[in-house]
Amino acid sequence: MSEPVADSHELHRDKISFTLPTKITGIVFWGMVLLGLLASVYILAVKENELISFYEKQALAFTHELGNLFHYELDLETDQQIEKLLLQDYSWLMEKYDVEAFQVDYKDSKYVFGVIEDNHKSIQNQLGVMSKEDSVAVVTVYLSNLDIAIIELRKNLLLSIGLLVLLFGLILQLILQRVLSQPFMNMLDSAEAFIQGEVDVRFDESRQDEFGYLSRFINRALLSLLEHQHKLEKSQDALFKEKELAEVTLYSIMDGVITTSSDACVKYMNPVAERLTGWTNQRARDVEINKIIKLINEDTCERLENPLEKCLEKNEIKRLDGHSVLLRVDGEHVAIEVSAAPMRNATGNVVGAVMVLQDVSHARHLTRQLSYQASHDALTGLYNRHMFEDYLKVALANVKEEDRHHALLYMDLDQFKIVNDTCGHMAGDELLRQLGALLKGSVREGDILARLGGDEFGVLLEDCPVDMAGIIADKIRQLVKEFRFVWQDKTFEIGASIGVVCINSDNLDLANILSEADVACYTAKEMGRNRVHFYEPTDELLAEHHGLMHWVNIVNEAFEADRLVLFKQPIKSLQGPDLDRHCEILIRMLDGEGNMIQPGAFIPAAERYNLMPKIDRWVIKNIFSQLEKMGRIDGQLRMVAINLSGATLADDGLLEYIRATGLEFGVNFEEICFEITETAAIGNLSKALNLMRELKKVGCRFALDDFGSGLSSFTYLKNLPVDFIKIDGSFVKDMANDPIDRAMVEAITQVGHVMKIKTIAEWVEDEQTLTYLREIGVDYAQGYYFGMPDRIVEIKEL
Amino acid sequence: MTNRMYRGILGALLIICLYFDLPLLMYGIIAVLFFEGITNLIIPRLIDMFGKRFVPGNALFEYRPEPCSTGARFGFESERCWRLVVGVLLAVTFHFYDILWLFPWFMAFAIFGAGLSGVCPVLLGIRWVGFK
Repeated sequence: MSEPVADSHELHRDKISFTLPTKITGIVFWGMVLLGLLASVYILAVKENELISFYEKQALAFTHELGNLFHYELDLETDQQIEKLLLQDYSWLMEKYDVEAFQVDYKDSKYVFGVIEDNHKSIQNQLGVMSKEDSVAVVTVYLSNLDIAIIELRKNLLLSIGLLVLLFGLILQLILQRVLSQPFMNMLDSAEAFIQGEVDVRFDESRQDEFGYLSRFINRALLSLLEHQHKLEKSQDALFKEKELAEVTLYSIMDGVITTSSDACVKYMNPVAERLTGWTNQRARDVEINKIIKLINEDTCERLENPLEKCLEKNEIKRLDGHSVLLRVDGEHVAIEVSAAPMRNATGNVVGAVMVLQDVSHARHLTRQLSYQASHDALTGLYNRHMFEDYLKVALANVKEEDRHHALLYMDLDQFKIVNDTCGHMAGDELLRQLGALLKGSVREGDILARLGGDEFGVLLEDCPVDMAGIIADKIRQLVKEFRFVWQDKTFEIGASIGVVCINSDNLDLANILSEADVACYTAKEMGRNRVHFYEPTDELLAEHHGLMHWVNIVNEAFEADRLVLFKQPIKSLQGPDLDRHCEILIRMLDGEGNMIQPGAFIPAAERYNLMPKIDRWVIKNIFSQLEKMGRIDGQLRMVAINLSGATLADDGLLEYIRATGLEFGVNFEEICFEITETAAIGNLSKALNLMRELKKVGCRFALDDFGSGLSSFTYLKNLPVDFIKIDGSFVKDMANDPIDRAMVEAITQVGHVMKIKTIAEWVEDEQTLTYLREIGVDYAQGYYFGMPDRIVEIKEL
Repeated sequence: MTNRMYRGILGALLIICLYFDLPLLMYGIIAVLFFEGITNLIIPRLIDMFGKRFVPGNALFEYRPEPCSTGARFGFESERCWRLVVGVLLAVTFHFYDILWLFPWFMAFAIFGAGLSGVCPVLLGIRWVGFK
């Protein structure tokens, strides 16, 4: 790049070196030419006059000398003498005065000497002749051509002046070259060197003329310029660092950032924005933002307005979130959230906008997943109860507003428990999965099929008359009946009991409809299973089942009125001194009139309608709060057994609740034993195991209640870390008379001892049974033989 | 060949023919000036053109005149006009040499000076009038 500059410099130098002094010289030269012309005219006039005067003087001198010659001959008294005189040779005299010819006119005679030509200059003079008559002679002198002389004079003069002027012009040019061009070129060289980066170069200040003054002035300007440049460089460095930092920040940021001009043309895209849009920063530069960012609604696929345009128009921050999707250049969709903010300069004017694109694909996928999980059953992929109830609410609303008729099917599988108990939960899950798929294909398009919990399914048949609902329900029943579930080497036949409820303008209460459907389903089961039953309010069987539901209200009311009471039943040691005093906590309920209600009356309803976790928590809290007092009164209290239901075991917050409540009341966890039934433990095996392990770490003990009543007792016994086995009372009660029961108790006891698990026999009601239990080696016994349950409040009163 | 050089040579020739009384040369010069002015075949341009045409390897030579200056009011070229003006002035003054003897001399020196200095007042005046 330096060569063209140098070439340019040389070009300028040549141009300047030729033109400037030449122009000055030219202007001066022209002045000189004019002056020379005037001088020539003047000099020529003077010289011509001098020449004419010289000629006249020559003629006069010639005439005078000629007269003298005549006067020497004073005896010119006769004409003959005069003529004789005139005929003499005067050539010597003519040469002397450079006279070409002369003529003497005397009297009537003319005497010519020499040759007269037209171009000769003639000058006449009078000459007195000394004669008798004193006559006068006229002498005409002819000199050489005056015009030629003048022309020669002019030529020589003009040429001399011209050459002088030319010489003067050349000398002037040289002088100007020296005094003007050379310092100017030196200044030009200095300026060029400065431009080339030699900042130390200065103009020559040593001259005392205008160039020196100009140099000093320019040097000061250069110094000021350099200082200013230095400041500028410093601020530029700072600005560059800031810019670099900003660019690195934009480069490193995890969101896509696009900056645009005020007319919405892209100026910069960071790498994330490049990845999101599929455009490169270089390609996108100065392209209109709408050609790069195409936003659509992910649900409707409708085009969305770019928030950046709105932002520039309104001069405020705009956001677009929710369901916006970016349409990439390759046609792919990216779920994003977009915001746009105006960029303002120092004066507050909008100079552009910045758009931030956040890739929310993962978050939106999770949201969809969560939404799906919240509305669908994970096992079958059908809607869950919550979603089903939502659809039901919508259906109820449109019944009211549009007078439509719907139907609800409530279906409970028969023999599901058998599959679960004999083949395990995996088989049960697989059965539900297969049935879910089967049912999905059996309902109409638009019908809502849901798994309501366990082995219960619900179908909402919209715009379905009663007879059609019956047909669909029977079709489903038939389908389930014909379905064969195969697990390993076993084949199961499943049945379905279906309750049908009509939804019309007379029946618009959600809870009531669900309750009616449940009752109808229950009735179908009670009537022999595998059948469809339409809900009828007058049905006696349903009325009976309503009693179960009635207990739910009573339990809830008892909670509110604090009418639940606790009892304890002692557990006696059979193999040693009864030092380890144990007791089991039992719950009773008081009715509105203070009458005691046995647990058998309300516990089934509480279990069916998921009230047991609430009850168990109440029991735990009350026992923990009174435990210290109970121990102080009994003195030797060692262990308190609290029953936990299956639903409570499934409660995720139970573990934390027990820990927190225990800490709150300063409970010694080694005195706490939780009793769980075999069925409850198996039904929630993983949660039960986790709970047992965690509580055993703090000292709690566990008893497996009603052992032997299940189908796979010994199988699960190996896996459950229990401290006690409570032999099911049905074996103990008749063991005195039934050798099989006795053998069962013996077997359980032996297994327990081998596994170092102590055994507790329930329902001990007589001495003989007690004796047998001692013989077999059962460790503890419990039953009416040792005493009826005591109300804990009574103990407190004691 | 530049017009400046041309003026220098022309001025020198005029001085020579005035000093040595060479009227034929003077008339020849006047004729050449009129020829240039009327035909626009200006000698410096012709010399350039022929000089370039015969450059070896430059077979596709095409003469391109200099672009017109934008301030011109007339399409007539100033150099062409200058030659006509000088030709007329020389012819008139030389014809009446006895009376106007000074003007040919003045013009000869002026043209010669214009060639040396590169500044020709007549040409400047012609351009000022509006010739391109």
